[in-house]
Amino acid sequence: MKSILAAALVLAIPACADRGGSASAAADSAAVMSAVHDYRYAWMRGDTAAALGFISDDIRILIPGLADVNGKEAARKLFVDEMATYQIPSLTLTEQDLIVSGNHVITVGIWEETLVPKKEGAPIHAKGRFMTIWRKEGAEWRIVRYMLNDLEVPKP
Amino acid sequence: MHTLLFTVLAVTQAQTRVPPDLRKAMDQRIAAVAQADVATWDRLTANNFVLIQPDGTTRTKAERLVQLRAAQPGPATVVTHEHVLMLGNTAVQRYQTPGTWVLAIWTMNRGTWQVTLAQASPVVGDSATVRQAIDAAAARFTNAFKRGDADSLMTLYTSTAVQLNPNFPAWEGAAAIKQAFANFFNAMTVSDASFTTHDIVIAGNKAIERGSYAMRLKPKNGGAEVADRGKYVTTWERQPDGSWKIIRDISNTDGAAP
Repeated sequence: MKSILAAALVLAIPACADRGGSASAAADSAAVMSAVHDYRYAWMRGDTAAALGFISDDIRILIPGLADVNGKEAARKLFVDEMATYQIPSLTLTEQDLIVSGNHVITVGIWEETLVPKKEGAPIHAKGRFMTIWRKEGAEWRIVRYMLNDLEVPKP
Repeated sequence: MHTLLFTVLAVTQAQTRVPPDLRKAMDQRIAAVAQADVATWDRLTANNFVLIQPDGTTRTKAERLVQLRAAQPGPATVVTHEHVLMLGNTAVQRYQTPGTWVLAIWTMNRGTWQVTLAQASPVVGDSATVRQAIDAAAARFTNAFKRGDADSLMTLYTSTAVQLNPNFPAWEGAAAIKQAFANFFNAMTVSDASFTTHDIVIAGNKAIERGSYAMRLKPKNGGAEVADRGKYVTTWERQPDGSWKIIRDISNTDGAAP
């Protein structure tokens, strides 16, 4: 189950416009897209500290089959383990939804990836959906809720 | 002192002296929205009208007319906490409908009172109030699910809701969700089900519920009962009538329960 975690934690860059239309909603959308970009890049280069910079202190991560990850310290352990275990040579992201509401942004999408264990084992192909809740904390956007589920991956 | 007293008196009187033709126009315009009465709303709305919506977006008169033409007549709007401030040929009207504060600026245009600007703001309850409302809606969901009642479930979804279950295509829109639930209940009897809310994040006029579920299902074709448990994140949106409905829902499964 952990095999899907790395991709799950690399969030999609929204491809569609926000549902709002106001200048502030557009600015919030753009800011979250920028945060997603930087967060994703942090994961790709295995930079735990940079990735954790986008995580709120009261983060809740909900992974299929695992107990909820509650709080930043639990997230830190998860990130360190994942980045030490896998490389991500392939990652396809399809963003489907972006909703701006107050000082929060909700994103929904599909991820698909190939994970390569750093030590041994065959590459793993995984796919699923995510819903991510971003919250503006001061001048920064951080993730407060993250949920993913599975989608069956066609066999090659 | 006299100047101050005069000002206070003037404002006090202004608040209470609403011209009869304006009073009539205000009542007609509120009713026009509820009844989807495009002609009346058009007559009482200035061409340069702008509506600032609860989410911060704006709508022009033309855009609102499109929305009104597509709307269906509904029940009369319940108006409370109304206050009108008269400032010459301008009136500032504020009032509350269930879940929303409305501020409307009226001006006299060629002998007709018209609204030039309106702003709708959500009446955001405190976290306890929102939690209570979500708990009540979630309880209705649980009861309907346990009964296998797709129609009742659908009263808790918006028309554009999206349901994202693991290993299924997305159910997009009320019709698709209803059909999917109907198919599910045709295939399964819900022996038991529980949905437990762990916390709620309030985001403007939305509330994001994090929870877990457990259920036992018996196939109607005679197969063995199956148990499942998992987690969910549900995004609820406050509706104009003050109710809360689901706009997005995603769940995952922890696999079969022991």
